Amino acid sequence: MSTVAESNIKLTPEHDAHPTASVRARLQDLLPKIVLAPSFAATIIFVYGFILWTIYLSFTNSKTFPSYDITGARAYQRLWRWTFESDPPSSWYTSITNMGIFGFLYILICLALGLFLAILLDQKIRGEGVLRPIYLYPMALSFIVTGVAWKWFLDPGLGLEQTLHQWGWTSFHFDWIKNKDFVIYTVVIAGVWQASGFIMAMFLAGLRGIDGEIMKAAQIDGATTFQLYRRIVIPLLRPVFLSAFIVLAHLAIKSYDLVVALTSGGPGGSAWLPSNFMYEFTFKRNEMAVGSASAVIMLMTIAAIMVPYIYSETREQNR
Amino acid sequence: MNAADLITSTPARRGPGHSRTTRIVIYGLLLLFALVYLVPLLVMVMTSLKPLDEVTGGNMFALPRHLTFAPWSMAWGEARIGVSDTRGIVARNKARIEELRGATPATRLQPGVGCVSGPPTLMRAILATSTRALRTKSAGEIEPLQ
Repeated sequence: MSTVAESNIKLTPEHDAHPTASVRARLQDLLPKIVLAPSFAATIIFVYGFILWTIYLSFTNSKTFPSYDITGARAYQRLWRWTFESDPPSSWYTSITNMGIFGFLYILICLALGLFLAILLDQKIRGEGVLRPIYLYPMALSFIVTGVAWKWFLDPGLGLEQTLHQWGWTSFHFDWIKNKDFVIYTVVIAGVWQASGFIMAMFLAGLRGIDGEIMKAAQIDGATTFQLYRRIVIPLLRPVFLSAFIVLAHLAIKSYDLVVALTSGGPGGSAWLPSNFMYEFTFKRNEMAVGSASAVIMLMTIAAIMVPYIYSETREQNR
Repeated sequence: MNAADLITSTPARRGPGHSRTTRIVIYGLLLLFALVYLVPLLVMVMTSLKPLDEVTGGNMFALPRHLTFAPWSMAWGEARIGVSDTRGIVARNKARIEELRGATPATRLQPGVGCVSGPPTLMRAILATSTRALRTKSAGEIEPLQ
């Protein structure tokens, strides 16, 4: 008891004796908070505030300009109706089916190709330092550049088809980029070209992190190379699969610029993704409420993917 | 050890040495994919060094026959992102736009333009004249703003 009281007595006069020092100490404590405050405030307003504003707008009757009269879930009802309107397909129906096709193929091919290239590169390859950046560089390009480069490359009149015709293969036909049923697959090609190298790097890091002793033990037990990868390496890479999936899934849902640069929306909007739908309806077709509703649906989709991931991550950290 | 270290560190010696054929297949596949990743870049760079008739008439993979750096200097010096399409139209219709900007009586305007007043009139007039300009002349022929 007495020691506590003594120390209290001792501490208090010191504070009084050097008021400037205490102000400085307090300032030093506060400084990180002061420095971070503007960006914190900006995030609160411009990210979360505008998310709330978008949710609010989706329940109003906003057309060209935001309106603040709440009219209920009309925009969602329209989207719900359009979801099943497949003959002729509404642009919302096209957007979400495209999202399904693009998301599925993009994630699957990127994972498969990335893993395949990583395994090949991990076989004590000479010149690995040259090959790795070649696979990786597309990730450094913006989606607009990728889109323009592939638009050029896939154009039937200028690109691959024309070139092969000149080389003598005149029956060659490849006009997916102009075909409303196949245009979404050209977006997959360009997207995979851009992201698979990055996924390769993720898998390569995972492969290099695997303990060589495990591999040796399996080989001594007589496992073939195929068995080794099928039964040991790929199961060990599970966390990499999960991270790669998260990266690819959010890239797929956010894709907007790739569709615009590569196809300008495709013939009759046949290459639209939900993000293109959102932009077109909000800013071009004067249907701000419907655009906001589709944005909210996209946010919910991303949340459905991200929240379980973040939850499992934090739970593992706490353990 | 972070991911970058893992990638750049020398690969651990592991697994039995591959046979000659397996090595050839591995290298073949790796080089094939390297080519696939490089082709769009190579095509873009080569195309940027070709004159226009070689671009439209020639082969995508052919090396430029007449090397030109004009597109690069153009991109550096002349291209204005977002305004290149309109400046020609603005220059062509300068007089008309000036006229519209002033308080012009509706009767003096072109028929079909002068039915409404206020700022939308200006926008609509520019739209109307620009579509007319584009109809009569292709976009490429519009001379740039001096």
